[in-house]
Amino acid sequence: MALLEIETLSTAFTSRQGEVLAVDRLSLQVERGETLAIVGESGCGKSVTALSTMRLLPEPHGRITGGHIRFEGRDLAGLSEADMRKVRGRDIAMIFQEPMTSLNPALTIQRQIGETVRLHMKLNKSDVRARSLEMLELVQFPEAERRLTQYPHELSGGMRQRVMIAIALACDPKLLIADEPTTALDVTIQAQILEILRDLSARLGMATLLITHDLGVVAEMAARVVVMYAGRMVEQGAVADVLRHPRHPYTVGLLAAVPKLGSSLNEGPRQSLAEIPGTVPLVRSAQTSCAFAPRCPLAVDQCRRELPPAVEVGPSHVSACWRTKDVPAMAAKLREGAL
Amino acid sequence: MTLLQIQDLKKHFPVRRSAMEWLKRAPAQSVHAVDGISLDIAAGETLGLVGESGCGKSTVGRSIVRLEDATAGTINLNGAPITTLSRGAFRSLRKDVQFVFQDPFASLNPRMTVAQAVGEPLLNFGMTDPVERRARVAELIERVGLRPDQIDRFPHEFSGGQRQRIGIARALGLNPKLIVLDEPVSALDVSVQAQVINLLIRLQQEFGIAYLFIAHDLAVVEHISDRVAVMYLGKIVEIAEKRSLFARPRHPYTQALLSAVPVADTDVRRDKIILKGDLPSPINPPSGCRFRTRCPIVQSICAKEEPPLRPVSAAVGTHSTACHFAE
Repeated sequence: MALLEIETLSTAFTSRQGEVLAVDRLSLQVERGETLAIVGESGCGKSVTALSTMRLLPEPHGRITGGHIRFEGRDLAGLSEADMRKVRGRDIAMIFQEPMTSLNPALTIQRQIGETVRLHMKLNKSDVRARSLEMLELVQFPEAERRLTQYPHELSGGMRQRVMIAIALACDPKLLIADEPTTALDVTIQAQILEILRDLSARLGMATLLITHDLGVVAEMAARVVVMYAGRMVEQGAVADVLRHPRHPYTVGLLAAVPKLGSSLNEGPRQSLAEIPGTVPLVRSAQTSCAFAPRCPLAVDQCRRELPPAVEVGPSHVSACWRTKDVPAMAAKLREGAL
Repeated sequence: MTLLQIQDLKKHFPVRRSAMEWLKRAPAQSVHAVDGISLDIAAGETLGLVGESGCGKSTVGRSIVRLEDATAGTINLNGAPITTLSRGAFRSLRKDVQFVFQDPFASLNPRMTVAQAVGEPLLNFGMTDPVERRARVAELIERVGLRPDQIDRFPHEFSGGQRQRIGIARALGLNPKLIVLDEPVSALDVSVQAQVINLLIRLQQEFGIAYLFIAHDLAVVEHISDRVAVMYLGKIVEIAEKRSLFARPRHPYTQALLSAVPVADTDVRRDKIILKGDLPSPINPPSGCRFRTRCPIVQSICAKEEPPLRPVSAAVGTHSTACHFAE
């Protein structure tokens, strides 16, 4: 049994402009100890999936409208708030993109790490302090002892994210949800944080659901990846398979749109980047056709009429595209700049 | 031909003292955002300026358009000294150098239509005939890939990428010789980012504009630039033609920066140089070489002597770096 099993999850938001379906019948599994990445652009539903799992949606405007979220077999979607509170922090922990806004500016580091520990582990005061210190050392926080009494504003962005990780891991969660954990950080600091996350998940045997828009981060961190577009999974598989042999036109487009480091070392003139024309659509109700069709160079009538099912295209490699057979040829053409 | 020449530019921001510090007569302090940099940009070329947050790269860009007044040093545009001109005299130069901001939502007035926003600089520089102005705005809007019938809309009716196109159209209006682009694509999603980068390259080829492209994303900078300058804590640590820089970075900071970029390819497993610690405070920058507190190859000389930016002997073309131990 998978640690986390999301099954046909739908999450909707009510706004002044009417109902928006942020996640549309999404299914995925996270196995014990593995790192699964969800990748996609803004508005694809990746963060909403994370918030739904943690049951942190801004109810009643955002709510789960269908499906199940099973954690160790127990359906979180139907849990009461009181029961959910016991899960958050202890079984599943989460870190966010902007550590400054997720830390309480008025409390010391020690108080904030200690809060989770006190709540879930029922330790006494000196044990709480010892545990806080231990956690800070785990995330390689320099001068941890002295800094226990500091406030978030006294720390840099990278140090704040370390505190967030320390809080998240304080109760030995089985699953860590990391929502764009390094997006707000500089690249040299990002490298430090990614290394810490990688090291800790291996050492603690913790599973990680990593939400990111950066395919480079996916390649470095995850074993498997789910590509999302307009609230749905469009491709899923081992990271090496998806990045090297993508079988959905959207994944191909994403890969080709990003400039590659070292591109100037190739011979020949600079190639222009592949554009994905148009923008991400707003989904209002359950989709009945492929949402990517209006931007897809391979789209045919069937794509505009019928919702493509997720089909196996390789060993544990799945793509939801009617024309997935033609995708490798499209990718090759794109590389030659012929498309 | 040199279009823009920056010489020994410094920009220090005073740090406000608290009442207590004032009473104790604590010395006045300042943030050394830019601390003596020199560079030039040729007509029609793209110079990429990279570095992490707080390195001073945006301050350099803002000084060029006089959004900041330099503390010391000179900036010459086509021989005219931007930094010492009076505000009035600088106005005539403003046509030649334009600015595009990172956040296209914050930089467009929400109550002005596209026609008004893009038309405003045209009006300011003498295009008073409304019919003529409207026609020019429509032309510019089309140039950046929007439809001319969209010019009476307001910024909120456009997506982020489209708003950035509007910002670019506004910068293009006066036929500038140089556009300073401050993180123009970092707020955009990758598929839209590609559209805007391609647009910038096309416009440059068409109009021969020079760009100062300020960004933290090294792959984007490599793609768009002819030359690249790397900044660290207010100084340029390395500047070179891009091929030379990306083929063989000489400064340990540039090396670490390049090695830290995650690459979307599982077959490429590179050795990472992971720097220890954070950027030191720009209020009291380290003595000698500013990078020494995080440098993997630091020696005792680094604390004593500041390495000058000097040409790398073995490199092809122009390649300079500021490190005692760069060969």
